Amino acid sequence: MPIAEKETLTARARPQTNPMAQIASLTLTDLPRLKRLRQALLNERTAICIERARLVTDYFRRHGFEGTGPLMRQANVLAYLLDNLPTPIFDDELIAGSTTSHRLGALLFPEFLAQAIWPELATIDERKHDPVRLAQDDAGILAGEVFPFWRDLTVTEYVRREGGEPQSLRLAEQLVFYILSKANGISHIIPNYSAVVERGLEALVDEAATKESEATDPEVVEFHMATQISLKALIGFAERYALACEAAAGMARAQRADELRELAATLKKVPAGPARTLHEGLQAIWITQVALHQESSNTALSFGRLDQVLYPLYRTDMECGRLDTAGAAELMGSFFIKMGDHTPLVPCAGHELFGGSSTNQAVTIGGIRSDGSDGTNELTYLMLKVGEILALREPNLCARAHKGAPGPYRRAVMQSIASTGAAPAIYNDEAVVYALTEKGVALEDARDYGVIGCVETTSAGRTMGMTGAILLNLASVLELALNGGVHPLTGLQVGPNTGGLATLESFDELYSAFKLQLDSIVTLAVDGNARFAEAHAVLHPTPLLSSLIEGTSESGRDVTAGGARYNSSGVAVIGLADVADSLTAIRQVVFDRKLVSLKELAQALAADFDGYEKVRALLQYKAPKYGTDDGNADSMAVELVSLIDSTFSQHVGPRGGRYHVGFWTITMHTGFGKLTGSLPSGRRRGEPLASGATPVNGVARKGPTASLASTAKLPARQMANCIAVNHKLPRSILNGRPEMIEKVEQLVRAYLERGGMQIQFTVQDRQTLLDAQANPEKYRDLLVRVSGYTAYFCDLNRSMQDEIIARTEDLP
Amino acid sequence: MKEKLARPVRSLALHAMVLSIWLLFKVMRLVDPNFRKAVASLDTTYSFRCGRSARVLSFSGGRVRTGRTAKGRGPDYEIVFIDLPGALRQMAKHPNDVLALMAQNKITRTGNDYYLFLIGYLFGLCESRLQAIFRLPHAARRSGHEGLA
Repeated sequence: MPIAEKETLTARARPQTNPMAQIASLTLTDLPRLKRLRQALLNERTAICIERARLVTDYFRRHGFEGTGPLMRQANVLAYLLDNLPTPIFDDELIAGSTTSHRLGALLFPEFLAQAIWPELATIDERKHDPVRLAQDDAGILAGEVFPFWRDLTVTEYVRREGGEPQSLRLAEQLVFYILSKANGISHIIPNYSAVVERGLEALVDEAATKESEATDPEVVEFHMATQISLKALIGFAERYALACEAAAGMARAQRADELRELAATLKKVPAGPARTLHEGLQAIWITQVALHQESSNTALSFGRLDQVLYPLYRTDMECGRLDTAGAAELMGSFFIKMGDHTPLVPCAGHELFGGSSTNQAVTIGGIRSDGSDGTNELTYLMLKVGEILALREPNLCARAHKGAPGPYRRAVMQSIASTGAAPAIYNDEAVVYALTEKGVALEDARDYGVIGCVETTSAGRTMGMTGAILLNLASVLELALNGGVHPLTGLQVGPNTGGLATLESFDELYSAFKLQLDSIVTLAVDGNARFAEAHAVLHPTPLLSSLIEGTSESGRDVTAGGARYNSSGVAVIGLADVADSLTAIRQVVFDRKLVSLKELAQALAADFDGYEKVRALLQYKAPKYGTDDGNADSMAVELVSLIDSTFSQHVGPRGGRYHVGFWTITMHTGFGKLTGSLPSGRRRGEPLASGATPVNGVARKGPTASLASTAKLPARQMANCIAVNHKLPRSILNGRPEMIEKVEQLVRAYLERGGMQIQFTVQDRQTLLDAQANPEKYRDLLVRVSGYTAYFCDLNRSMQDEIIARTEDLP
Repeated sequence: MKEKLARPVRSLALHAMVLSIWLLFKVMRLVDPNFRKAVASLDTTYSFRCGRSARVLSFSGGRVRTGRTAKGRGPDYEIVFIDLPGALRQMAKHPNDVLALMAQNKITRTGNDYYLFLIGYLFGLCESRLQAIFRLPHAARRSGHEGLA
């Protein structure tokens, strides 16, 4: 009997109408298990799990680092982890596997940046933002054993030591110019879950064994040996969970005991063998995801196009009567809820940059297939609906759109956005596919793109993209250009001495200075990225992940060594709109119309416009702004996109690939904003920068059509790492008004037809947000869109909350 | 003239700060078993610098010492104060938030950041003990971490 049957009597009592209608009418009331699981997750407070950290430390304390190559070393430690990690089974769950030993936990990676929370060990459970539970004994183990062991062994320390305190690292640690996220592990990737579901891991083991026997290069032999060890360890991990389910069944009531025995049977079949049912498919994917999180960072490990991967299983289940709509929804919802079983562990100071973020595991639905035909299917709608009724921040649901997308799908996407207030984000296939092919991705692979993390786009299951490798503060580059290479906050001579603002004689001179500063910062960021890439290849390759990326089996190389079919490195640029507006203001107000002199501007900036209100007003109102469909302002933004992409294109990525540039900001537009002085756009010191590729808050005075028209002009071919375009709608004008939702849908369609790459909405009334700020306990699960990911509003720091409240409200 | 006065004042402030930290750690070592355990096996020397003034804080044999120079060995970690008054203000509000000192550019550092986090941990233990003694609300619950600048 299908697992969900007894829980879905309400659904079964309905007349059997067509599945699409059944999907559309699903509510959480029909799915009491999901309601319970959802509430259990929301009620839970994150607890730090030290098991992984303790085990990996224990392993290396006993075995050391010498004696084997890095691949075998990493495979063996992963096998040790998967053989010894706890295997908790929680009430009600239909998908087994837990990222930590807690229902909601935070992982620690002492090889990477875990030490950053050391100062807070005694106070972390009471800190203002994102308090997390930590047992006192565990704190003692971390402080006394784990962190001291890893003192000289982290990837950051490797980079520092091997590079002799390289300038690129020192600048990264200032946190004001750029951030190098490889310090936190290998992440931001989509494994080939098709292979897991369709072939099973034993087939991959056999393939690796064959490759091993054929290889003559010792490094290739080692790679294939390491992947076999890792895959077998994952199979063993699933079997351990099967045993745990059987043990739990022995202590459970009848119905639950049946469920647990069925779960145990599933785990004995998958992921070792191919999946034959939707349940098996979801279980295979999830247990693999849990294992991958133990190997490297639990950040933005995304799922790809699950509606495509799982649809054959879903269809078979539905056709043979093994599942009904509610049963399928229950499974899918259980899977979605599992995704939220872990959170990133962000130190106090990092909250300004990454606060409120989940682990950004993106799920992509809809869009065209590799052959160009529409891929929307019944499972697409089901996943959309389940995401809507759960209304959780995980997964980061991403809806692909294209010219031929069916009307019901478009409407369902808009309905979900209106209902959840934040999800899904919408991606334009025509623009994204074009961008990827321009960077060398084959057309059929580009069409098969998935979204990673916040908004980044790569060909799913075959790309080592590290899409968040460099996070660049473009406003800091402008500040260097305005100050002869000296950063005003630090006083350091960071870039070349291009002369201060007052010495420049023309806009072209300023722009040349800007280009030089950009080149200098990019060169340093690329250098830092390369150093961390080397550190990972030497210290911390990822054989399990590599076994699940197309290309590595043929190349015989780990993804960290460039073994994937496609290699690239991703950049996120923060501050596009502010810098575009600033440069436009200088050109028009200072040089063209001579309303303000350079000297006045320099003085005004130094004074943060105090005493220079007239200058500020001239800069704000006498220069056109990006976001008003003004040719002058928009052309500056377009020029900047082109410049940034071409600057990065001069560099080869660490694994031989190219740099893909994108414009999305997480919460860093507020974090970097606090570290940025006043700007010639009229922005004051410390104010947030604009989010993503969105115009600056408050300047899009000609309405959403003009704002989106500006954004649509940005050249997609030079934004292969995609963009986040944040728009806000008042919920009160959409609620119960399908005609308004349709208007928004038309606005979005027009934007996409003009080439807009991506768009996402926060649908909340200003008053609701203000009330949530004042009374967070009443709005625990209020969702908003940050700049990429979906977050609970009340988890965000005050600055980020204020920024969202201040966002321009579109009135369609 | 102002700059001529500022230098000795900064020097005085630096030495006073490090001496205060040394005294605090000495007291903590006596009253707090967790702190005692944390420093028991340390063999580490920190150098604090502001301009041309420098002072070291060293841990060995379970004890904490301070002096103008490191005896017999270079420091494991050096913290240079760019903005000493600002750093002191930040540390008074959030003593264990060493990352904020970096992010706010109050300090630059040389050496393995492990040592930065370690001393942050020691400050965190001090904060926790002081709260327990004086029944103070948790520092993080006061104004909260107000940001990077």
